[in-house]
Amino acid sequence: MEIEPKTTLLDLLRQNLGLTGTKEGCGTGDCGACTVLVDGKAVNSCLYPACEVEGREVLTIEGIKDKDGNPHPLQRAFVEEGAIQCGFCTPGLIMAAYALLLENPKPTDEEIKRGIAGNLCRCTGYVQVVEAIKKASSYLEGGGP
Amino acid sequence: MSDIVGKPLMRIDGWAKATGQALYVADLVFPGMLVGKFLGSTCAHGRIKNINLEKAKRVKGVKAIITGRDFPYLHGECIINIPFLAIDKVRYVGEPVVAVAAEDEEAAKEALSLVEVEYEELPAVFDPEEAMREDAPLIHEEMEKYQYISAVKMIPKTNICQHFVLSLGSLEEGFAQSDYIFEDRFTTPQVQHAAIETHGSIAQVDTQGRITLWGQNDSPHRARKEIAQALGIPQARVRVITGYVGGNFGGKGGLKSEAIAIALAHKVRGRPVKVIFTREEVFRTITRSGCIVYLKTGVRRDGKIMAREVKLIWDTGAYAEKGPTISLHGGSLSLGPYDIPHGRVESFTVFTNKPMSGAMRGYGLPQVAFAYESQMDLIAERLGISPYELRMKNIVHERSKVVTGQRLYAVGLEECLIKVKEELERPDEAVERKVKLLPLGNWVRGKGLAVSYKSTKTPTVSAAYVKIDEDGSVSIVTSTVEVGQGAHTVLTQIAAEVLGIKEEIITVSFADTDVTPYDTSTTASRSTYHMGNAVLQAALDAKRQLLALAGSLFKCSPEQLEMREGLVWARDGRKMTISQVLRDTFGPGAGAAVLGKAVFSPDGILGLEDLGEVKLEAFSTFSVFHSYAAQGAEVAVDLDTGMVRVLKIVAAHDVGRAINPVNCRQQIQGACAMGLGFALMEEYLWREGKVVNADFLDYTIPTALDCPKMEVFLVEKAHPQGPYGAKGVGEMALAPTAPAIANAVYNACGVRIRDLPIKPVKLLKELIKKRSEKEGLFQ
Amino acid sequence: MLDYLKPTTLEEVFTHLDRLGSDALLLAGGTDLFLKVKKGKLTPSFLISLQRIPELNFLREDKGLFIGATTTHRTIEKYPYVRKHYPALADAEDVLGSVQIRNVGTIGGNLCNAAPSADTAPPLLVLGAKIHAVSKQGERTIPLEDFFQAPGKTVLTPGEIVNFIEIPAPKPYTSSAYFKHQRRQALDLPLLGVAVQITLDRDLGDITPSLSATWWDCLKERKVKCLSARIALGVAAPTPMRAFNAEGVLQGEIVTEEVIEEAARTAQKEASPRDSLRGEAWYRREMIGLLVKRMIVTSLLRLRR
Repeated sequence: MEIEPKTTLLDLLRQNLGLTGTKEGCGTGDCGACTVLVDGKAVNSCLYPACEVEGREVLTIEGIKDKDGNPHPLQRAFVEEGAIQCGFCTPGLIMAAYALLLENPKPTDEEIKRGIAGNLCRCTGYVQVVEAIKKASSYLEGGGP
Repeated sequence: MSDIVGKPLMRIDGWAKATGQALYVADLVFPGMLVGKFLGSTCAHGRIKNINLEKAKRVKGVKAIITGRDFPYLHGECIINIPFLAIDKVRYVGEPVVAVAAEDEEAAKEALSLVEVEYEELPAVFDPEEAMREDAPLIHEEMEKYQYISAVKMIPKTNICQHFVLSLGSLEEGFAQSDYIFEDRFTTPQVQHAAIETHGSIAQVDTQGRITLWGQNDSPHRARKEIAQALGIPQARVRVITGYVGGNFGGKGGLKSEAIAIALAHKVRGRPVKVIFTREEVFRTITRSGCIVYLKTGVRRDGKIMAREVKLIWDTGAYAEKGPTISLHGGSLSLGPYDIPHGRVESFTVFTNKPMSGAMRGYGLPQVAFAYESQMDLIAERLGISPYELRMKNIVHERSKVVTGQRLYAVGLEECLIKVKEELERPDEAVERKVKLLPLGNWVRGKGLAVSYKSTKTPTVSAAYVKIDEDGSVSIVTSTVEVGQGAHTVLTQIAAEVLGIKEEIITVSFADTDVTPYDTSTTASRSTYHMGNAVLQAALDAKRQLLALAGSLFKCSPEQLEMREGLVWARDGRKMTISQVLRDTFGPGAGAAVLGKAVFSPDGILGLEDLGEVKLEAFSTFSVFHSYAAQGAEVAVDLDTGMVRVLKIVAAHDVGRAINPVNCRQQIQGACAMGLGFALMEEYLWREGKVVNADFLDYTIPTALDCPKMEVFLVEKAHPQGPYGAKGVGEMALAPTAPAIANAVYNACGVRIRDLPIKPVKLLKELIKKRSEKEGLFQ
Repeated sequence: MLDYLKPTTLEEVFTHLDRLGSDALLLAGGTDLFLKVKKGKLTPSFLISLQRIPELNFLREDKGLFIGATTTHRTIEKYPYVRKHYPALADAEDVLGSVQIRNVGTIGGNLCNAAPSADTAPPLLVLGAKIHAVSKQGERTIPLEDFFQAPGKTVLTPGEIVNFIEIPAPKPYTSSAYFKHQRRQALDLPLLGVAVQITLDRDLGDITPSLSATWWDCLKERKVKCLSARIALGVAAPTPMRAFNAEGVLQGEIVTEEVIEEAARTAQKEASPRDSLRGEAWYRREMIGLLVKRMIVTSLLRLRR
């Protein structure tokens, strides 16, 4: 695929590939709404040069499903625990949580907050988000729903 | 016994949002779409001498480039004085001056970088009290020539666009009866909604001149009116559609990105123009009114408040937008939820050369609540009684009268206050654990509480359709916008309850003024009450019609039928599915529909019995319902750095009836986080009228690590006119938070900060002063 | 027009730099640089990505620690050897930006960006870090305290890049700490950063305060001598700085509360904080006095058995 070198990963996803699940909240890496995983690590795609993605694996909100193709336990937990209000920060938050659980499958409340500290939310106060991630952690432990 | 109202139903839009499938305006792509951007003024107050577009026009990909002269219309809500693009004069740094539509963003940016604007600078004024002085430069020279609503009382030849007085009883008498008089000045700064989704719209004008707007406007019918009014065209030629909105909090009402998109769309007839603001542009566009509150309170020795005099000075920025009604609303609530026999409020809304202030969650309440609840604790200390006791002695109860003359009904405030006190006093292991994790510091702890109450926009009207389709599926058709507050879910629950059906077969429409009936706005926490009632009545109407049809089929009176579990039941046990009723009525293959409808406008307002014949003004200070709340905060303050950490927030809210308890809790938690930011870390920083922290790095909103656990308790003092007794919750929910935190800080370290935010540098300055004063005593 | 180059060896990098000169900028993680390019604040014609050069991306323990320039903050944050022996650096990595930033941002990038607010700078300064720079002409070693020239400027010459950072092994009875004083608990730049490394002449022992003796009394009684003290400040001067005078107050002395406070006061005088968007000079100066003391105490507490 041919792109301009100044293209960010976020633009590549949203404009070139039409994957609009990842959102732009600030464009300066200060809100995390654009979080995706590159080679299993959470990054702000608004700062990530699209050129660097060559040879790497990018995972976005559109791509997380459980082994049977159903929505991921994180998505289920977010819905069940009322962790979603306006939903704009949700994809980025879920991806940050996904990355967190990859590294730390049973995080404490404090560890969860540290893991999502790079994601701003203006609607929820983060309380139900933390609950949702804990619930998702328990789902995944049990082998998923 | 409710089947579904009162149950914590999961948000119906949850899955769409969790999977990234929910579309917001920036996600929409239309064929032939152009990108629109604008150039903001670099001058805070000046005349536009010249705009040179020659180089900009030649940039490849540019399809249109316009200035205010090309589209010289004015729009507005209170006062019609906001240009789509600045016309001959600019009044704040960041005001849109030139707009461009181009094939892509690069071209648009390049074109704007080649625009040359010459300004003749005029003296500017940034402080509202200075702007009130006689010698202050006039920001709107001929203010009285604008069109404005009746609620606006401007003072011509000044920068004061709203001035009013409310009074109750006699201040003289009240102060004469007081043993102590307290006079304090409090200020709250301009802050921002900071919704994670920036502003954006897509506009298209077809060859017939018909305008279609896709976007996030929180009040599509009002936006339609504002557009039609501004352009002098019938409303039928304007169509406003609002889909999912990524957070509103009041910032996405009125015309902002809409104005730019519409102006450009007129130039490029036929092609849609998409305007998405950058985060920086959002900061330079809309704020919450800053406020200066002068509060004078007279109290008797036994703690009874006899009189309260309030003087308010609101900084509304360069344009009025909603400034005048915000002050009316905040002003009418500024005595606080207290039984005060003598009161007076005088309020001034003043223009300054800064971005305009508009509606932000609370609509004037957070500013005055910070003032009156801070002063309450000052009073309590002087009197030697506890803050809780002082409030218990004075809070409103059933039939208490407030400064507008209205009596209050369905008042659950006492329950809220008692609950908060209990919860604050309860030992909490989680808090103790958190304290152990605090970094090295000279920590002291404190607790504080605050109460508040809020009215809603009155009068307003909401209309709804509830249609039942041939297979029994139901559509709710309204103009209520889902901004994240869960409105669509709540409306679904109401319809499901009435019709006895499962929520899975109910859909809720998005707002589209071509299709969905009138709703005043999705603001003021009015939707559950008004649209809830409209949907309730429309659903009842649909039910009546359906049962009439079923009655013919069952050969009995419709009164003997009921709807539950998705079926229609006769008393003798016979039953039919909804689809069967319709099929047997309309005939096979004919299809079917039942259309229930309702137009809801409150039938009389409770509490006006003392006032004789009342004619409601547009934007009245009376209210169809009031919400009440109490909140408490526990904080730790590091005496050596001035840093404040909030350890816990408890909130007890009287919501009338929690149609969806989870929804209520979500709103309140989010509001507390917003209140925490307001209290401790949010403010606009200026240099000569220019916003210098127009980004998320330096405009700091709370992160997950800044927010403590927030416990929410719901009190249900049902309102007789609310749907199932429900009132509203979202708008008022952050009002008690900042004063509760301020009171907790005072309790912890003895310092009272009267000017938000309570930043470490301010706190430390006062702490050092206190320390040296104390040392002075021992010399 | 911008061209994006992805060399895989250092030689290729030098060739590019030679040929393109100031038209090219080096990109490590990009969290600072790419943003500036995106915003138009920097307008290079070429970006040379360093992300595919293995010689720059490593962590090696060998009588000290060697960190490749493009090692990410997150990698350092999670490296047990860092947490054990260089706690000040671990402290900084814990609080830098956010997880997303730390996954991409690099230590070399942080230092070469040369902002006075760089979180890794004060810790590396007190840990005695040395920059190993390399160019077509050869290599040279630059002590970190000589590395920063002005805000945004290092002493690197055109054609020279940072290869790795060397941190000497800590002597016995040494510990360190870093505190980032910020406006909120994440996603922030420091208002002030303070790092300290202390080396004592012997074990601190099991100092336990009691009803009759405060912690300071116990410490005084223990009569430990400070063999080496390093104190560094961020956002207290145009570049990250060592507070040499303050160090001199503590070095060679028996550690007591009075000595520590004098060192803190000296650091206050040595620094030149200014008013900025994020904080007032007055407040910064107050915090220098307070946080230098606190970080010395934290380092000592870490030495306590």
